[in-house]
Amino acid sequence: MNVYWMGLLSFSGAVVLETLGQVTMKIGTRNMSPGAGGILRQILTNLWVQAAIVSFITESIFWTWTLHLMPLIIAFPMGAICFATVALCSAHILKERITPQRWMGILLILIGVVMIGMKT
Amino acid sequence: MSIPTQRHPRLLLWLGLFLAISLDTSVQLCWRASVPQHGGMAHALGATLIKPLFLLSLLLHVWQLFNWMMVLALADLSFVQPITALSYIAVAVSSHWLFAENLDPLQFCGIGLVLVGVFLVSRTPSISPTSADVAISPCSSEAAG
Repeated sequence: MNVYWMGLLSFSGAVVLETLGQVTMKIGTRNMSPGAGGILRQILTNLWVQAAIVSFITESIFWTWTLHLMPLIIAFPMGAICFATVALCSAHILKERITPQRWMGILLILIGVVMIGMKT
Repeated sequence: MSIPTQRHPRLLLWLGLFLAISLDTSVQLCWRASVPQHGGMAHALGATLIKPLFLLSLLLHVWQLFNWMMVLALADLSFVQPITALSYIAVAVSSHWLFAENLDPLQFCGIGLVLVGVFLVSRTPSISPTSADVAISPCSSEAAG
């Protein structure tokens, strides 16, 4: 397997883990009291939150690896895809109501982030 | 959390989002400054772990985790996550100042699109009604009565 495919595989792993982490963290913070004590209790006792933390830690390893296999200039704009994957999972798994205006905003953000990352 | 914000979840949400964006920007800048550009994975991890900047970013990560959990408890994931894209603007602008990286016209357009997108998202309801909210709404209580 060459560096290009290794990079793409590692990148895909990072995107999947980021999406999985965000969704499980959102599930884990439902009915949580938003104070420091409530948050600490949730970290120590809630399996969804713990799964999310494991996802984020594993993701950072994948992301570090990705940055060694492909240039930041390519990896960074590609990372914008997380805005799409997280929004889709919010709608279909978390059943959040995403209005057309919010979809439009997310689309503009996605395109904008790709443009910020691209350097001519 | 501080007392005045406890009675104002909306204020707490926006303060949390502001902090999330600031911390994300700091972490990304630390990360960018600490990760070496060449070498294998084992070498990369070894070299990264001992850098003080990496340790600082680890501390920031823990703070970020607590803050992000608070933000998620207050609003939809599809509301808060797109808004954190503002950190891409902060990173681009900070890199311009700190690392003397150029900002070309394409990036300026990108910054504009992200700002418009975040504005659009911020004008939508921050939280979807849950089954519990529906149960205590006036309509359902009338129906129950």
